[in-house]
Amino acid sequence: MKKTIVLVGNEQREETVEFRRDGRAKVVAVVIGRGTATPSLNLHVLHDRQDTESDIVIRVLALDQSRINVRGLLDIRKGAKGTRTYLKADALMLGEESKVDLVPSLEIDENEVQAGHGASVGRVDDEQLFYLTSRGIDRKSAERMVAEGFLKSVFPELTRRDQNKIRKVLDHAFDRAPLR
Amino acid sequence: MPAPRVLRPYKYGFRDPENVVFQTEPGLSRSVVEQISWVKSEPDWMREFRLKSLEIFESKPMPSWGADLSGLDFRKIIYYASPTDKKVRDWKEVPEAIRKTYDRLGVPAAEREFLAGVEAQYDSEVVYGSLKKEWESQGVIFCDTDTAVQKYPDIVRRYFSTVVPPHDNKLAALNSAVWSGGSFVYVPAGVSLDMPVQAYFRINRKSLGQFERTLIIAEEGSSIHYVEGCTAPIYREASLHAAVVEVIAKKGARVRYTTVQNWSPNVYNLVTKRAHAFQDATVEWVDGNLGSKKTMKYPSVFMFGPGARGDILSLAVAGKGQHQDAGAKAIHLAPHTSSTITSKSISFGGGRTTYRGMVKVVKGAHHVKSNVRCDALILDSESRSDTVPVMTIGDPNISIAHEATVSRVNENQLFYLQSRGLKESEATALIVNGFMDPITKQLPLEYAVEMNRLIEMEMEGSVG
Repeated sequence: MKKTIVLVGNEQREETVEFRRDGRAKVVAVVIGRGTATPSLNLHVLHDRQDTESDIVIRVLALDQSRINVRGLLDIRKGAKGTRTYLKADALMLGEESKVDLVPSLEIDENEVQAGHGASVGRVDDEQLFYLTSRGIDRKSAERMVAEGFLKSVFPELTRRDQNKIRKVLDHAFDRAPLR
Repeated sequence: MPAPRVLRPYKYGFRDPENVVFQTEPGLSRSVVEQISWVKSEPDWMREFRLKSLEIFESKPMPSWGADLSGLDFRKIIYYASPTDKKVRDWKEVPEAIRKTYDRLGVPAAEREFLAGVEAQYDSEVVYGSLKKEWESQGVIFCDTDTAVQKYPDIVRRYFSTVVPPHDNKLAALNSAVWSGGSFVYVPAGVSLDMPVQAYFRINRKSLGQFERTLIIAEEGSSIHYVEGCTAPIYREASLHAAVVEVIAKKGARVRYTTVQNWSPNVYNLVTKRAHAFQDATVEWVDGNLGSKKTMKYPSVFMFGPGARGDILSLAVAGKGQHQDAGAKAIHLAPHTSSTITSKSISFGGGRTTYRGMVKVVKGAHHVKSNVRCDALILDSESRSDTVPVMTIGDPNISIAHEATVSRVNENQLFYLQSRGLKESEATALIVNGFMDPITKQLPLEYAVEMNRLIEMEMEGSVG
């Protein structure tokens, strides 16, 4: 089963991922904060049956003065032997006044499992920016390229509509079309 | 796998005849707090501080998160008892019964080998203290906090409760009202203490709480490694250990505070440990939690100046009936600061470990780097483990990374060891010790040895 979540406005979203028919789940979430928006995502992945797998990828882009809140709970109940789950959450902070609150948590009641998570928060690598600007690309366009690259690996998982939604947001945010 | 033992035999489960000189009646009240202050002949400012803290304690609710503290009854606890009214300087002068206690805990051996000075606390009073002459000549002050209030009031007044104020949390307010004992260490600028300074604590009296208050001040460019380890005998009523540790590391100073806690399985261990690190200062917390019924402890470093650094190593081992809710907090309040948090936890026999951590970066704290790594080992299907890392980032010019894994003992590794003739419990102990290695290798040798032996004991009880 695949679930994609894209938040680009001021949405507060709560999502639960459960395993009814399918034993495997892939979740891709993109949260983009613009202006003074305060989007929030509360994701609960519930493993309560044996031999289920989940792979969660969350990309957060914080622009302007946005404040983004993401909670990702991997919940493994007793008896859910053979569970395999991994959550990766990465946040890119582009706005000087932006704020990110990230809480990836694990609640594990069963030992025959494999579970983990990784999270990172950072800004655009100066070296990357320098590389682009030294090739004559203006800063705004360079930042947009980095933002796009950041989201690029999950883009193919999203629906066309969501992809366009994101492109529109980026167009507005960097107020220009991307360089081609 | 056979069923785990019902009650893990506690190696240090012995008692002393309860020869206490003075103790307050059970429960907490204004008059109890005033008696404590009177017995210590404290100046007015400290008495008033205690009474104000009592008001704060009474007005605050219990924490709604963390370990289950519903079994804790504040009315049944005795908040103060003193075993002797004399302080001693040499082992020979320590009262026989108390000396026997420490003998069984191995303190004299430690004194001979590694340590230059030992402060020992027994039932709320610091009974024994000794300090190497060279430290005294360098201007280092190392005494119990009660003595510091009398002898060095200016220094104490300047720093006491500036790191953990009474309104910080309910248990800090309680400690502020009834604190007794604990260490006061003042290291003058530029002085380096190259030997671990050590203290032992012990709850002996039934239902007695331990409320030590430790204050460590490291002036500019100084460095110190402070080590403490504690044990307590088993009692049926709940025992409470609500300590507060405040550390101030001024510019360029370095403080490492190592704790190995092995309280008996009826103790509620609720501790607030916090450090303020200024420009270019480093504070390291090495926190080992093995015993107690419930532990809630999150050593923190608040970084106030550029170049400040906080490193926290946390180890939690939870067996049947135990919940270790531990972790760390790294609060970045200045640019160019960095922190690392490493947490290893092991749960077995129905035990529960929780890692609770916070990395906070405020706006303006640019060029901050933080790295958190928490790993949990769950040995059997009765046990559980939770991880709740909170990252609150208010400045974009930073780099924060976090990684956590939860797993059980690797079957291939177990098989490999067993096929070389090791019993399953020996193999498990070896693997678990390897898992904890990044932390145990930071402990003073005798703790590392004790830690490894304790793990072997636990594994024997729960496996094979």
